[in-house]
Amino acid sequence: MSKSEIATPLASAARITSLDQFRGYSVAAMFVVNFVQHMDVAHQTLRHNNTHFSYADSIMPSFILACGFAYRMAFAKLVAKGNLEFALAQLRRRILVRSFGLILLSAMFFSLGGKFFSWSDMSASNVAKFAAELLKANLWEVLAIIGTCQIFILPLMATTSKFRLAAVVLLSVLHTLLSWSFNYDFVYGRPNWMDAYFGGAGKRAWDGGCFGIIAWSQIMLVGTIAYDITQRSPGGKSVRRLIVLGTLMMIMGYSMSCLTRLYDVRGLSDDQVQSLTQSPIFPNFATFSNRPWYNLFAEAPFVAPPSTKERVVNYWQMDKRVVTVSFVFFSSGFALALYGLFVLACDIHNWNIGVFRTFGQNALAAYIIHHLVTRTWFSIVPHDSSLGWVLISLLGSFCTTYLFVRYLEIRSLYLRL
Amino acid sequence: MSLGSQRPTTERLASLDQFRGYTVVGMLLVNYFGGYAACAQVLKHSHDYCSYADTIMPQFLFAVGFALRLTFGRRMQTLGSSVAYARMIRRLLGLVLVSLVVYTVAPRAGTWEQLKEMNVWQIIGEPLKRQWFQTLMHIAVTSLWLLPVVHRPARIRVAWMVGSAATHVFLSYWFNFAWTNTPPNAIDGGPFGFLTWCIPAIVGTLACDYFVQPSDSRENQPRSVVPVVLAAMGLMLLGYVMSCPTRLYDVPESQRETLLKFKLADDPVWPTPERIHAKRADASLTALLAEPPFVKPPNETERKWNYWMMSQRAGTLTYLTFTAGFSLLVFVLFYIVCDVYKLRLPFFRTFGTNALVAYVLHSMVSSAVQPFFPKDSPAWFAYMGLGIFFLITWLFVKQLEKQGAFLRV
Repeated sequence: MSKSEIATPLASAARITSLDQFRGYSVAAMFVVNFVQHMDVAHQTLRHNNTHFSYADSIMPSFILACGFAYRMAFAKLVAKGNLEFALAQLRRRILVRSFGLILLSAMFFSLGGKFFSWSDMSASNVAKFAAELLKANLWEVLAIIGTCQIFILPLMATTSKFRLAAVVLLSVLHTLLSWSFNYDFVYGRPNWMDAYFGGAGKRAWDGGCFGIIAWSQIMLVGTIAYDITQRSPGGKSVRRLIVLGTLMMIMGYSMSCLTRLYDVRGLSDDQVQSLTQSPIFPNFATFSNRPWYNLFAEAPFVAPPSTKERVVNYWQMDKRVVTVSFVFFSSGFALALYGLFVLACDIHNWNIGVFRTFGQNALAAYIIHHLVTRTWFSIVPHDSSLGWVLISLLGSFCTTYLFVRYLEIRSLYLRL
Repeated sequence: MSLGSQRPTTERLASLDQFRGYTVVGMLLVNYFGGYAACAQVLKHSHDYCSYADTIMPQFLFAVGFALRLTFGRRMQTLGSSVAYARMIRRLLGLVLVSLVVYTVAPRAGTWEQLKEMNVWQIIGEPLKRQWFQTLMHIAVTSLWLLPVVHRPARIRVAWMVGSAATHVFLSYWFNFAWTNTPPNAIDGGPFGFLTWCIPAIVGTLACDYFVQPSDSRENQPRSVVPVVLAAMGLMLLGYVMSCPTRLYDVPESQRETLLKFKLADDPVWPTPERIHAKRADASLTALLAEPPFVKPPNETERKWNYWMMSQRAGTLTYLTFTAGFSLLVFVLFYIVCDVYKLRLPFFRTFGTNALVAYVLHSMVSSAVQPFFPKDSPAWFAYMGLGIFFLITWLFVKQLEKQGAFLRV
């Protein structure tokens, strides 16, 4: 890819309002979701259900898409300063330092998920078990995921948009194959062949575990493509492109999720149900016949599917725990289209919401502070609190976090790794 | 006379940054390592005498008093008194808010029904007594307590300090000593601790007066440290002498069995005449002298806990008088090394210029590292954990220093 294709005139612009606002919106929404998802009164769309796409599930992909956008922008700025080789060398150095910094911060902030109570507990097998569980599950909180994805897609940063789009598709195929081979059971802590080599048998992961990096990297790559679109197409054209591409990806994601209907158990024998349970990736296509076409549509996103008594859990659900391929495509498309609306509102119509700016320009600080603040508020908000108390506490938690982050903004203190 | 006009210098004081950095490093050491079997006793916090670990927090308060005197004077001069007060109060209330967030409180009720049955005091009583009142809250409340006098002449500040200390003795006699030592035990003196924490802070303001020379001063010579060293030694001696009444609480061997289940004396502040008479019977000099600071006294079977011990938990007068002098002495050493001989350690600078961030980060890093280094680890392994803890904390604070991001209140 040539320098002129990357270093567009806007590459050196100080800040992109729509990106700050979009990131700020994602951070603000994360505060709300992280607070209310623990409350009994919360609607299912504000929780992570791992069975379908909820509003809560849309937040992390939006955040990672924004990271991909900023990643590409940082690269473009480096290219604008010198030649491509120089930019790549600089990018490698910066990204490796920042990514390992993020991973370390994540590990310290969320802890490593294990404990040795005494020196005698530190046997070789216990240490190996700890290491396996760390790599399989405990390490993979959002900051570590972002750091690792940045390293994972580093070799693709100097490639064209089309190449990266192709990489998204190939990585989807790879994730599906790995899930078919072992990863689906691996993430859910069920027996699989990888346990014998990796360890951590029986341990459930979240947000995809270690192989989830393949899935989250796809969303980050879509973010880099979003940057290219906004830089190459002026004004309304980029909005249209973002929304069209986003809609197409959502349609693809939804279409893939329709395979979940092949896991309906109504009218199946016990043997057939057993067979479906053991094959969460490849459905029994025999059940495809003798069904009306409208019976093959999955529930719409944001709508809860039937219980496990009526449908066997499977890879084609939009499942954030495994980060299934349908989840990746739909959530990337959703984030992309939403970002298109932010471009329209913020870059074309010059909307700028103060709260989003404050959170968006200092997302890492906001993320850390909100965890501390939420933990404090939770001491007086039991999980079965009334709706009124939950809303009052949520407002209190949100405003407290805002106060801190706004204070940092006033003093021009931005936490960046 | 407003002494604010005498402190218009805008340069950072290397000695203060280095002193604060050393204090942060000391805090990292004792807070991380204090729970390990391999840790020396003097590095552990104790509640009945002054260990090395117990000298750390007074040094923070000393540095706070020093910096408050320096910056508040500047602000009074440039912004006017009411604006300077308003800003300082707002910032200190911000620090109170930081304390409420940083010091985690366990859920006050398991269910909504239980929460509804509790009154406000039942909800906030325990955190107010214990969890919230730790270092940051003490700094905030003590600073608020000092604000009315921080720009006043030295004699007024000293009078404020003596009055505060006397009030603490009275409150301790009334209820505070027993209250702070009754479960849930208070930390660092509890909500009334500011009355004695203001001692090192006010000594810090006095040190500021002595060492910070006005920018319009023609003399730019280092100040003589002799009077300050004498003052520091005097304070330490005073603290020690005041701690000697702790010997009145020695339990005669014949009564040890009877009093075994009591940790605190019945009369912890004002000893009863019987107690004094009993001591007079054994009036040898050694029987009247307390153990020197940094030396562990006998346990509560042999000596009942009392207000005259140097106790960080109860924030006793003896403890904070002695450690105020000790802080001053340590600061003098930094003044000589850093301001006179111009020697500085980048390691201390990194921590000293971003002390609040280092404080918040250290507990996070400690919580992540300690689970992999059990408390009963052999010394080499425990030290390895300590090294990793220091390295990670330093990496984060250094990164912020590189970015020019300094969080100050």
